[in-house]
Amino acid sequence: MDYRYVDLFLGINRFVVLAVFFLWIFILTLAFYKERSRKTYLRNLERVKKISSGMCLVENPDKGISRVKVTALKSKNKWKRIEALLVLGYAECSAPENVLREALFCADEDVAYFSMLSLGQVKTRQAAVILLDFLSAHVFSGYRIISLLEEFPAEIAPDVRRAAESEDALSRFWAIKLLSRFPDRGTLSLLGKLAQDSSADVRAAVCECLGVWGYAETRETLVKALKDEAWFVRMHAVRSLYKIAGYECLPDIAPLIRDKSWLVKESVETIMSRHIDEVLPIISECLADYDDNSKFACVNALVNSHHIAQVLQDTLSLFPSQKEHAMELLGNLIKTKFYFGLKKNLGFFSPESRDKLLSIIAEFDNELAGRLRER
Amino acid sequence: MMSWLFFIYFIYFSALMFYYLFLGLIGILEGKRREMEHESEDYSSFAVSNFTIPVSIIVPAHNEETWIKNAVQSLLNLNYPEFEIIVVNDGSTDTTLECLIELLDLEALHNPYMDYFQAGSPASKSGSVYGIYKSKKYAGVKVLSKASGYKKAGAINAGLNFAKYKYVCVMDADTVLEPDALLKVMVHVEKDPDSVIGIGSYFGLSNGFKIENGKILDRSFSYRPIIAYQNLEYIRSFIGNRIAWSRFNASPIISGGFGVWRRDIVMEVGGFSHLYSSEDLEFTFRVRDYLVKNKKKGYKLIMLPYHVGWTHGPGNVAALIKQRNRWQRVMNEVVDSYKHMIFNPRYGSFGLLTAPYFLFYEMLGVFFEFSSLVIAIIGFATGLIQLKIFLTFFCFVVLTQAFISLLYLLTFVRSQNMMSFRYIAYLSALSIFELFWYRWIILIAKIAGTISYMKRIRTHDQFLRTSN
Repeated sequence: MDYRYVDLFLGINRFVVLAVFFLWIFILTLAFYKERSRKTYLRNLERVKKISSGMCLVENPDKGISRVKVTALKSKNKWKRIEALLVLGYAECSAPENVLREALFCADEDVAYFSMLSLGQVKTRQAAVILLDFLSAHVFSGYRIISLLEEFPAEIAPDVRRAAESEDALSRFWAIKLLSRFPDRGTLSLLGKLAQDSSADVRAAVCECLGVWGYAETRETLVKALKDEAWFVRMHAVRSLYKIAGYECLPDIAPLIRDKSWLVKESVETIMSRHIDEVLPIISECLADYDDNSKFACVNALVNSHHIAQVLQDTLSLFPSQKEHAMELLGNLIKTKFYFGLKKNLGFFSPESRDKLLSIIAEFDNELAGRLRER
Repeated sequence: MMSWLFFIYFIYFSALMFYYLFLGLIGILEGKRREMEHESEDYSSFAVSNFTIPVSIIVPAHNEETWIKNAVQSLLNLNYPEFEIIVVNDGSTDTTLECLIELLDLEALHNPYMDYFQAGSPASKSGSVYGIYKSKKYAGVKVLSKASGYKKAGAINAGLNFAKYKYVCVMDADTVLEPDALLKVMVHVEKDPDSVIGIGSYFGLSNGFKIENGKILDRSFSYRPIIAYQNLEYIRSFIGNRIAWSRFNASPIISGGFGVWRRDIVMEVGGFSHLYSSEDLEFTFRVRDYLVKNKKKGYKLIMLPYHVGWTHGPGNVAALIKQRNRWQRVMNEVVDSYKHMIFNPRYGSFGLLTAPYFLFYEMLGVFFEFSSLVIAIIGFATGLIQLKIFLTFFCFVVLTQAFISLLYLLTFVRSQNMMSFRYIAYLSALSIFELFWYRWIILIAKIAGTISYMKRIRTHDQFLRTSN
């Protein structure tokens, strides 16, 4: 083989040896420094608070604050700028909103994000208005913005109501979500109007908000929403209606066990399992349907309400109508082929009753009865 | 002939080194950005907000009696407003279920069960769920018992059938999470939940740690070389490559050890697949494939450098080979199944930057490494390669590899505070000697993995876990 390679590699190796050596020294120095400073190393907000006290609150606060504002607006080092922006929010400096607003609409996402966090600390109406305006910019999800705004004092409620009337559907949606933290009967007419909004998200948020508020007079609005074309509106309407009206809303809600959406079914199922006696006819009817998901929800409701043992007990009843209903229900339950804890529930009965029950079960499914008998 | 071969290997190793160097530098920049973000983030308001996105945590557990209590307790200690825990006891033959019953005070539920995802085969009863329990002691904690079958993927899918929240976190049963683990990752989701469909973060090895009741009492990293080298590898993989790939939205994997997925996407792609030796890598590739084929744009898979948890690594050579054998197998399986992504511009930076790496390094790298060794030995024995040439080339490979390792270690040291000076010094010294033994163990495992891939072995081998 050619010895040219040797010279080439020797040259490269020398260079790499030097690089490795310097890198190694650098890492060790850094690790050493980090270990020394580990105990005093302040993280997150503590660090910002420390900086802010150093920059603003010592000796000459006005000069300190103006220096921070200049850094927050003009620094070319992004992270220095962010640090200054955080200081403005956390250090309770006077009137930081304009600086933060300017940074909030900056093209750099990191600068915008931390300005947003900083505004969240200011907690003035002006800061709230800026953040609510920012909702329509769609830079960040409203989740983070409203999680900051929910800690603001209730005096921002009028501004939130104004945002709920925004032309931007997403802003309306997030504003309504936030409104749920500020219950107010005076806002009901606005929510009633928004319940007819063209955006399904907004309509869903209205239903959710009404449920959180719990004002009885909103029941009609929610009953109408049960027929909404969007499944998530129906889901929130079901949940909220139950929060407001309790079991009285069962006649409105129960038919939705046949809803196309399984999340709507699940919400109805949870409510039905709490009031099983009232909904037994609907369940029995639904179990005979073809839709597996509806049957599944009904079986779940029966199991969660611990009603299976009662169904078995009723099949042994001496009252013909009670027995007939129970037999129909048990038959439909068995035909679903879903597991519903039959074996465990049979264990609650005396051997004699169990034998009778097994013969009843055998009428519907001989194989199942045989298996249960074996166990 | 020998010169040509030499030239080919030189090009291959140099290209690889430049690729790593590029990733290392990007990793440093991205790591710095993430660290600054972390330092400035307001977790306290996020942790108490009513508008924090809730998460379903799924923990598949197969014969995990040693670790399951600590893993679940670490979940119970999580500082996060709303989450549910679903532990799936996947056909354990040890006392995993008994440990869970004791810890959680379980009661059996008799609800019906529908398999929306592929959790098991209803015909053969393989993998089917036969027990549903809920904790009497802790709200929102469920345990499912299922027959083994459909591997870890089946267990995760069983958990998915019960998950009710929009985001699901999948983690290993031997992983102990930091109390702020979910906060650290979900804050990034909450910034943009419409785009972020998958997110993961760094987790290291817990070997040597003192852990009680899910809390880490003492973070003493193990000085055993086999563990220390794995720590170095984890740093290289998580802090270097994955962070850099994430910068370009080209992450190839959201690790099964700890990863959060948006459930609608998981449902759309049909859940995790049991047809592969391991599920996480394939799932990430499938999600990417699905997004491109269905023209869904603007989605992000993010990898973060924050330490969110600690997992137990193989403590001996045999266990390490077993684990890496499976990893190699699954890499080959995935590269084979998704070869259409490689150098395909439709897949963006993933197709051009990440997928080729998996072909050239993870799949073909085994052949290059093995053949270079064989040729060097033959050439040296027959006198075709002089000792001086052999040594200079060997030094070149050793030094460049050490340089890359140190570069990644530097990124780690800059942003982390948990390893002591002594341990960092130890790792940096070990990085120079990696090619003298550890690398060969990994090569053996990779060769074994490639052979078993060719033999169409698709088992999810679990190495024997021991306590600290």
